[in-house]
Amino acid sequence: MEAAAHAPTDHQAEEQKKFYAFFNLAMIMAAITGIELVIIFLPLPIWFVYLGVVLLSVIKFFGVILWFMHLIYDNKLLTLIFVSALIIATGTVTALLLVHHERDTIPIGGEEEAVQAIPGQSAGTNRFAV
Amino acid sequence: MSADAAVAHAPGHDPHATTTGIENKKLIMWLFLASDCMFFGTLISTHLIYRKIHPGGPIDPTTIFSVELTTFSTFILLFSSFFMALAVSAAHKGSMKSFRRNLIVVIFFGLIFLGCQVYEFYEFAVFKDLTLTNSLFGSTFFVLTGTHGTHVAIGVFWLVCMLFYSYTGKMGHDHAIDIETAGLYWHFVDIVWLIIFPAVYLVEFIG
Repeated sequence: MEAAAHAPTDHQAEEQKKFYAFFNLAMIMAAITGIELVIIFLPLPIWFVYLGVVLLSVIKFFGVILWFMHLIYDNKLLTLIFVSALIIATGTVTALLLVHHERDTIPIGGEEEAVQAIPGQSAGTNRFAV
Repeated sequence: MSADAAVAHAPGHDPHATTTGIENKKLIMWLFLASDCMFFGTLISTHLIYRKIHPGGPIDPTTIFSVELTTFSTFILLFSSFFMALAVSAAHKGSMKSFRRNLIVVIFFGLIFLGCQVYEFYEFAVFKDLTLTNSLFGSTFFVLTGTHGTHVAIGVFWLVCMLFYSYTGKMGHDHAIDIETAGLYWHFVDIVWLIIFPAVYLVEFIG
């Protein structure tokens, strides 16, 4: 009889725990979004800002995937499927950004106009598209 | 009765048993999300490559983009994910009332996000002279954010159908996997926006 009385209370406690876990995660991600917004306007080195924004986005990304989408509690096959696709996607994005320079997109016959339109661009410059 | 049917109907036999141990609906959704990951990856990289090419003249995105509106949209979608997680949890418990309440909030937030997107696209096209066809930046921007918006719209439609179905009295604990699958889709739509927000909007304000 006591066990039955404790069961609903334990169940409610577990549900409350889950609610607070989701709520805390949502709050953390809202805070991270706020930090992202602030650091882009601070007078910090550009490389630091880029790194900070990328890292914070990755943290939010995995926060949603692992806890909201329950990947951390699910079968490891699902993790394998998603992470494989993520590696392919990230690799493709990185390769595209490194291989396709801005100058590669200049239309034939429009070099002069396009070079003028790209700020800070000069012949022979080789920099990332981003 | 065939041998297979006899096994399927044998006492204690789980008709949803799979060789992987994962529900088929969940597995197929994860496979779809994995492919969608690659799809959005290419759209994002295309935008990042072409964003500085302005064949018709320079475009300054900092004078076009509204960081306040986009930040608001981001928070809206983030919290919709929170309520979606609660809705899925309620569905697994069999608590229909809590499920419907949370689902209505998710749908409402999704509609707010879509409204913000429509308003933004209208502002850009009518007042800021940035359209799908008049610039390279516009093309890549609208294709990327438009595709994401379409995903959100499909998600909202799916959730609305689910909400209506929950009122028919036919939705039970067996449908928890369907709700979980819809939840996975919605969370994915959210995380794609979490990547688009800094990669498309915030990056223009850096430096």
